[in-house]
Amino acid sequence: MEFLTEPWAWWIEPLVANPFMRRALYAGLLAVLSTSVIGTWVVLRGLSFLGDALAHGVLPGIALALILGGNVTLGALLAALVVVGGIGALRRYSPLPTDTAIGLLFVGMLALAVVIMSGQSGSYGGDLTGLLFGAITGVDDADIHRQIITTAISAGGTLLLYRAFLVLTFNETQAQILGLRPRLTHFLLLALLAVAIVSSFEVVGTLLVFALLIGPPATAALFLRRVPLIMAAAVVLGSITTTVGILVSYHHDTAAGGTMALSSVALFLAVLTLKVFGSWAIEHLRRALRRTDTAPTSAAPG
Amino acid sequence: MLSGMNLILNLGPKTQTRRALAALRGAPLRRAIAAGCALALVLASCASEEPASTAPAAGAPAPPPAEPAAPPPAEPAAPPPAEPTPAPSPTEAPAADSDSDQPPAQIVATTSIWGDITRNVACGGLAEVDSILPPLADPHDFEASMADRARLDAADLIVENGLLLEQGLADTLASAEADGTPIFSAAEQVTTIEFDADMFGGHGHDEHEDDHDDHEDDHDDHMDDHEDEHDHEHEDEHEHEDEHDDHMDDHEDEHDHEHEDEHDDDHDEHEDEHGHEDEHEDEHEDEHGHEDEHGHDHGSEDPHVWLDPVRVAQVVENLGAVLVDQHGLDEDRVSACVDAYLAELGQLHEDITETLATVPAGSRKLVTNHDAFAYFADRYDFEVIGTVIPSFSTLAEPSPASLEALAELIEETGVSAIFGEFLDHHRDLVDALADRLEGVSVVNLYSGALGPAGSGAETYLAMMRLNAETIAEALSG
Repeated sequence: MEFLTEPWAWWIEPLVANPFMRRALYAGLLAVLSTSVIGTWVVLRGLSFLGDALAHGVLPGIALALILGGNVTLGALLAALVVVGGIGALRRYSPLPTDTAIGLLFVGMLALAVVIMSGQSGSYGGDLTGLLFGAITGVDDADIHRQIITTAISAGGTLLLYRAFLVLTFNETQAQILGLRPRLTHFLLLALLAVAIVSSFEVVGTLLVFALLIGPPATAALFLRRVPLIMAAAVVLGSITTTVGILVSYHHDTAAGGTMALSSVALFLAVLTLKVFGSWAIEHLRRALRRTDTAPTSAAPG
Repeated sequence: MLSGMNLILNLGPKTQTRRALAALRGAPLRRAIAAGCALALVLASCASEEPASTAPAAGAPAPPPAEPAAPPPAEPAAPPPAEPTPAPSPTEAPAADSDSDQPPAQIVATTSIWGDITRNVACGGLAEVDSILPPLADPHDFEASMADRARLDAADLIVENGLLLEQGLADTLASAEADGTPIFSAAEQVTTIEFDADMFGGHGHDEHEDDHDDHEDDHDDHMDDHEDEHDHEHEDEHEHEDEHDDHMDDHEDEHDHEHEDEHDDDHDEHEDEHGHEDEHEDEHEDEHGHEDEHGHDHGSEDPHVWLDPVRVAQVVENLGAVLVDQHGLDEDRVSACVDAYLAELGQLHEDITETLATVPAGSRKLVTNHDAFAYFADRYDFEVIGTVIPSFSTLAEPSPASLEALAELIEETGVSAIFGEFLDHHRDLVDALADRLEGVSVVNLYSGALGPAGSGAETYLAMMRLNAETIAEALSG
């Protein structure tokens, strides 16, 4: 309860006093900005599974980059593009539903990463754990600068293509008629999604980036209807949950990445519960009111 | 009140189109972009100005954080002769903080084992020592909390094992160092052993050591099948029964004859006297630099140095010197602690040697869970003939083929026990392997972490003794 009784000491002081807390916060907020904006489209278009596949599909690229000593971000981006292209190809040529293609690629990429890493028995290959859970406790300025660039690309690109994504989301035929080239738009959405994931995985890890991608937009979509509002609310909610996650990890000694992801999912569940309970309560209240309304009227003639 | 989700999912085609078209006007778009860019700029400026802005919060008494890049020459008048500039920790003017009766230094160790050792170096309340990893936690695989990060920041010194043992903490440690907390890396104080990828065919490790000329030259290295190309200084003698002298025991020579099986390790003679000059210290640093061709650092050196008490003794001496020189701890008190602990380590080394003397020469073969026991094997004349997890790290995963090969090897060599670890990783793999083999038992050893209270392995000394007893019991029978 300290966060209520001593708000300064709980919320502000750790951030003021510790440079590493501020860096964690910046990195977390940048991750939110880049994932929540594009995540809104992912949620609205029902592409969550694809987002998940993409978040994990980057692993073989990272594994290869680690082994060959290349740039991890670049490796992840290339792997993400492979996933995007692969899903497109499978979707076109396989007669089975899309989620089958996504699932296959998802598990295929994950397995590929494990195999690549296990081939490295001669030396440390096991860096995958760090990639799954991220290292927000170890963010440095270079990480933040890299994140600023990738966030600018993913969030900026998503906003620039707002119109195209909107039409694509709600009426693909309409998009065709308007000459918006739905297939290209879809590809661009996935590419931007890949950038967002790559930009964030170093902070919260590939396993948990998914929580940031889906959590805040899904929460916002529970009570908002207009897309720009959902986006804005997702950024705000994501920022809150990320900040809370970092602070809980600080005050209560819990694993940082996990706490951030958990708080994002917890908020969704809390809002959903409130909403369900709220509508149930309203319904009952209304019925109760109706009964009391009708009671007097039926009593009156008698 | 309608669910927003349902609304979106159930929108009739007409509404969708209308909404889509309405949005085509796109007025909110430009505003949103502008806001996004502004936010990005603000964050960018914050991020770049920030390193200069604050010093670590928990104002501890000791050294103002030196800039990590500070070159080693900044160490003037270092009085103790035995101190060859411990590698990684940023140095600073030592005179600044030598006022006595200061509050205890804050030291954070990564693993519980180094925490215990550090506590003994700074004994009697000279320092408050904390460790990040709890007992039984696997150091290869650990995710830090922000509270851990804060602890690292508030500390005067971090004691890590190094050589990527603390893989999950690597970024976190690096950022704490960049923020001004010096790191003492234990593995960098001692001669390391190279990891040998061929070992899982049943060979030994490469010993990667260099002897220095002022002492005996009959360096014997019983596992050096592959080492010729890196080690040119000493002649390789592929034999175990060379004459051995154990420098750790120089001050009590009467024990020497008992240690028939011990093969010598040239670099131990610093043990005989603490003040002794040991100039080999710098040499080994250069030795393995050329080995790393994987593009990532230290991937080929075995980090598990603490399983050799003699190497730990070297670390203890160097750590003591660092605490005195760079952290202004009282020299007399530290050296009293160091001496006492060195004596205990010497005793430990002797006890282990004696305990293991019951294991006949033909049975001195270890099959372990992951490749953690190379230093132990090297010190006590064992051979690690195979490991269940084919890696230094517990994070790797064995293939069925490698498990099969290991099983055959075990049958061939008649090893009677497989040594698991008191870590949760892959214990079922070890069990599965033992099930496949008749008459092979599974016994657990302490490797990367101390045991919890009541386990009999609450301290480094106790843990090492327990391991030796376990091994002796399992292999003598």
